[in-house]
Amino acid sequence: MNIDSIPEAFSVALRLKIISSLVSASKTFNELREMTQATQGNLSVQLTKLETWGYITSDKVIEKKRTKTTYTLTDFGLTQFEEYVALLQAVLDRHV
Amino acid sequence: MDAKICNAIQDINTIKETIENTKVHHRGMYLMCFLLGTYNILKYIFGMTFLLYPAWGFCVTVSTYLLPFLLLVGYTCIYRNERKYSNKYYLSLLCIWGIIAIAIPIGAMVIYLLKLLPGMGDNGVENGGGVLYASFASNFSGILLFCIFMVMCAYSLNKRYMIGLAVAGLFGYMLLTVTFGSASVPFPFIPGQPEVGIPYHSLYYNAVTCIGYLVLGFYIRQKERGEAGDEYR
Repeated sequence: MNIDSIPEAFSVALRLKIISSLVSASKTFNELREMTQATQGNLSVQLTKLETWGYITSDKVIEKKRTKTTYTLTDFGLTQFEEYVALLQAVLDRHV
Repeated sequence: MDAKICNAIQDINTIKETIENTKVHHRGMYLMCFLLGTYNILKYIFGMTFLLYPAWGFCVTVSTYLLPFLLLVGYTCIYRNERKYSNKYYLSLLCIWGIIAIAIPIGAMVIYLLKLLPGMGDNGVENGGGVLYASFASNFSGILLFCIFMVMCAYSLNKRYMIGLAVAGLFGYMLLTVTFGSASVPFPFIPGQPEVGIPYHSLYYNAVTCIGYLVLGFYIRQKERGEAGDEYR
């Protein structure tokens, strides 16, 4: 990964927040919404994109007639995230 | 500043803040447990010492004025140290519970201080029933506070069985209060001495507020160290 080929997953602040939130543990949709303060629609769109690109997986469970969706960062997503953090650090080190 | 550097800094800050908000901090919680457990043990020791040696009036001074003040100082240090974390939910919980836990002994200290003022004493009027009720209210609030803290820990540590323990603990205290049984204990605590009746609910209160907080504090600390170990694997 280099500065000219940053994956699209990290180009939007909300997607970056979603990925950062999932680094430590899986989160439900509501938890992600609370953490990112995003609207339901916007969050849903970004989660779908990240899932399509293979950064996260979702697991739907029906609890008391309500669907509870839990999102987990994939190994690929974690690797990409770590590479991106390393890239950011390299950019800062180079210019400071 | 270069746009790339600005963006990089912004992204680093976003990542850092988000990860901090997802972390569950327990350090402040177990430090509070240790602080309250130590405070209650010292208060009990000074109280018992005064009962054994009534001439040692300084025990009352320490127990009534110095210990609550030290408790307030300790809590302030803990809270100020924990403020560096950006998780507002954790800070709110620590703040609300801490204020309640500290307000009770500080409030009692203020009342005692006010009583020292001319004209503010109790005028020698006996109010045995009021004292008993106040003692029950004080003990009950101490137990309730501990149970509330256990419920907080249940959610924070994701150990929901602690809610059941908290409810059982509160129910146990209520049961002991209603039955009003007492244990015959030699006083001073030397076999062969005349026995006194110590209510079970009083023994329960002291066990919970002294030992209970310390045990809970060690448990929380052990859990946090266990999680920290997992992160570095």
